[in-house]
Amino acid sequence: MPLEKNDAGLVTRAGQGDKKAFGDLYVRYMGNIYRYIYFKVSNQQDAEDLTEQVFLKAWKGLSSYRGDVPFKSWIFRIAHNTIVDHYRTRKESLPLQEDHWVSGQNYEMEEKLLAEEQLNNLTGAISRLSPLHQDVLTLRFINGLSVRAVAEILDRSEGAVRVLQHRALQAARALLIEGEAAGD
Amino acid sequence: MTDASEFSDVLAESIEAIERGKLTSEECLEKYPAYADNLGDLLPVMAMLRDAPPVEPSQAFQQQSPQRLLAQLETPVHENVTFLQALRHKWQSTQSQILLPKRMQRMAWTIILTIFVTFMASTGVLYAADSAVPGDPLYKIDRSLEALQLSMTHNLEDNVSLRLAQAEERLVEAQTLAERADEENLQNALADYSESILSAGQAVKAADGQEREALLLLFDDALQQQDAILTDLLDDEPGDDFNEDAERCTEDEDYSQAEAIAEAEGVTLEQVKAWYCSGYGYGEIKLAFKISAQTDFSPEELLQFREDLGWGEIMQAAGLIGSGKIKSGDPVDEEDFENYGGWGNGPEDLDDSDNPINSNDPGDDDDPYDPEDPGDDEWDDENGRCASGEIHPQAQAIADANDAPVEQIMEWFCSGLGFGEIKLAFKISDQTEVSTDELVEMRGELGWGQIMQEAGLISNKDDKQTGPSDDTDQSDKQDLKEKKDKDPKDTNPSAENGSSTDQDSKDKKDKEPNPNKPADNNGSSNNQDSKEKKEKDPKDKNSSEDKNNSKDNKSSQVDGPNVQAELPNSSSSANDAKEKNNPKSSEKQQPAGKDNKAEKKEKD
Repeated sequence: MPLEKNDAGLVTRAGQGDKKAFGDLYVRYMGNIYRYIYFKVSNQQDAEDLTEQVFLKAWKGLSSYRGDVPFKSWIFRIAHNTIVDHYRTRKESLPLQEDHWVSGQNYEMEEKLLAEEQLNNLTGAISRLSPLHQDVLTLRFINGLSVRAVAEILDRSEGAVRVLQHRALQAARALLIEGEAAGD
Repeated sequence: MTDASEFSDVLAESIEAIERGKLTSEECLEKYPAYADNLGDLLPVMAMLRDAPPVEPSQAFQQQSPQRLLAQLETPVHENVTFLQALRHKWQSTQSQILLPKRMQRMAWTIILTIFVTFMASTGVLYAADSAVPGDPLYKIDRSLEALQLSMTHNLEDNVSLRLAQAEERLVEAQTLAERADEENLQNALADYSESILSAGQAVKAADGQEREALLLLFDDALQQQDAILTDLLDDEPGDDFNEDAERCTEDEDYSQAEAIAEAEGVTLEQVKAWYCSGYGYGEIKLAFKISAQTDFSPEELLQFREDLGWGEIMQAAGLIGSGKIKSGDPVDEEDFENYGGWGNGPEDLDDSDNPINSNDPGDDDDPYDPEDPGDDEWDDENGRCASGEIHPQAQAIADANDAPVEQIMEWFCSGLGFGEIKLAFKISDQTEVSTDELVEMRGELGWGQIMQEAGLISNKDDKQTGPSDDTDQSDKQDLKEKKDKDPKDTNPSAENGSSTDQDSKDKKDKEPNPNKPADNNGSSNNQDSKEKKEKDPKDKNSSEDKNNSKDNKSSQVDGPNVQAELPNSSSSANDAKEKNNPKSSEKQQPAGKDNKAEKKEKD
C-alpha cells in the first residue's frame, strides 16, 4: 500500500494510537532525521540510537502535538532537542574516530572513496562549527528544509535564520579552506 | 539595513532561486553584481553541502528499525534507552569482564550485530526483551541475549556469577508469573530456575582449590538470598495456599496437573493427589522429583525436609548445589542454555552414573565425606575455605538460631559441611534423640536419608534390621549399577544369575515398589497413617505444639509403614534413587501391583 501523500492524515491516525500510521511516518522521515543527527554527532551508531529515540519521543508526545507547525518541523524539533540532551549528558562530543560510512548503492569503488573523503571533510568542518551553525546548515542544505521550516524548528524568526545561514556558510567555508590547507 | 543583513537576504534569495531551479549560480552572480564576490565564495559551499554524499543508516538498521519501533510502541519504553543501547550496554558489561583488546571488542561487537541482523532481521527484534517473562513473545530474545552473554564470559568466577544472576532472573520472572496466576509458564520459569542453578553448580565444578572455595561461598550467598524468594513462590503457587485446605481436593477440582506429574514421573495419580491435598504445591512436588532424580533422596524425603527447610537449603543439604559435594573436574558446559527443557530434561552431565552427590556410587573415589578418601584433604582448613579465619555470616546466623557456639559451626563448615547440611543436622537433632555432633559424625559415613533412617525420622527401623548388611547393600548397589547398563526390559535376569542372592535381591527390587515411592492407591490412607504416626513419632515432640498452622497438614511420611513392612530388602534411598533415575525402569517402579506382591511373597 503506498504511503499517504500528506502527513496530516497519518498524524491524526497516529495520534489516535494507530501504530501503522506512525510506522508510515517513521519510514517517511527516518532517513531525514538520521542525516540531521549524523552530521551533528558524527557517529553512525549514536545517530541510529538517537534516531530511534526521536521517534519514540514523538510517539509519546503525539498527544501534545497541536498541529501549529507541520509534522516535519515538529519531529525535527524533537530531534534537535534530543541532540541537545545527548550532548548535555555526554558533556563533550567525541572526536571523529572512525571513517564515515557512505551508502555504496550508487557508487563504484573509486567514486565511493572520493565521496568518503568529501564526506569526511564536510563532517569534519561541520563538527567544528557552533551547534547553531551546524543546525542551520544541516537542516537547510543537508536536509533541504526551507528557511521557514528551519525557523520553526529552531524557534527563530525567518530573518534570523537567513542571517545565521549567511554566517554559517562563511564559517564553513573558512574551515573547509583551512582543512584543505592542512591536507596539502 | 546594514550591508551584512542585506547580503544575508540576497544570499537567501539566491539560494532559494537555485533550489527552485529558477536561477543558476552564475545567473545569481550576474543578478547581484555588488555581491558577486561574496556570493561566489558562499554559493559553492552551499552546493557542496546540498550535494553531500548520501548518508544513510546501516542496512541492518533500515531493515530492523521499523519493526523494532513498532515492537517498542507496544511496550513501556525505558526512558532514553533504545534496543541497541540496551544490547550494547549488555555487551559492554560483558566485555568489561573479559578484557578483550579494544580492537577485538569492536570486532566482536560487530560480529554480534551481524548475528542479530542475520537471525533476527525478520522477527521485528524485541525491545523490551529484558523484562519479558516466559510466554511473552520477547522472552526468547531475552534468553538469547543471556546465552550470548554467557558464551562470551569465559572467566570462571564471572561465569558462575552470571549463571547465578540468571537464575535469580528466572525467579523474578516466576514471581511475575505468579502474580499473573499464569500457572503453566510459572512452572516453566521454575524449571528454568532449577536448570540455571544446576548449571551454575556444574560451572563450579570446573574450579579447584581456593577458587572453588570462593565460588562455593558465592554460591551459598546467592542461594541464601534466592531461597526466601523461591520458598515464598512455591508456597504461593496459584491454588496452593496452605491455609485453604478446605478448598483443595474438592470433588470438582481439576487434577490435570497432578495427572501430568504422575505421568511424567511414573507415579500414581493418587500419590500426587495425596501430596497435593496434604498441602504441597505442584511446583514443590515437581521440584522434589527434580532434585530426587539427581540425589539419593526420594521425593517424599525431600518434601519432608520442606517442612523445616527452604528449597535452597534442601538443595544444599542434598549436596546438589553449593558447598555440599560438588566435585571438580567436570568442564563447564557453555551451552547449558540450550538445555532448558523443562522438568524432564536436566543437563545430561548430571546423570546418575556421574552423580557427584551419590556418596555410595561405586567408583566415586572423590567423595569428600568418605573418611578414607584421599580427596578429603581438599576440604580441610588449609585449603582456602577457612583460610581467612573469619566467621561466615551464615555460620553466625545458624549459631544464633540454634544457641550454639559459632566456632563449632565454623569448624563443621571448615571440615566441608555445607550450611544447609548444618541446619539440617540441627533440625534432625531437634526432632530426635541424636545430638548434632553425632549427626555430623554420622554424616561422614552416611547420606542424610540414611541418617534420618538411623535416627528413626523417616523410615521403619524394623525394615532396616531385616535388610541386608551394609556390605551386602554396597554389593547390591554395585549389582544395581551394573544392571543399569543392561537392558532394563530384561525382566528375567535371574535366568542367568539365579544363584546369586544379591541378584535375587536386585531382581526383587526391580519388581517391588520403591519403598520411598508412594503406595499405589494408598495415598489418602497413607496420609492418615502419616498423621497417626506423627502423633507417636518422637520427632513431633516439638512440632505438635507449635505447628498449628496449616502447614502441619502436610504429610511428612506419605509412604505407609505397611508397604515397607512387606519389603524384606528395603534398600537405602540411594538404591531407590538409582532405580528411579533409570527412565526405562520407571514402569517397574510403579507401586506394586498384585502380581509383584504375589511374586515377592512367593520368593519370601
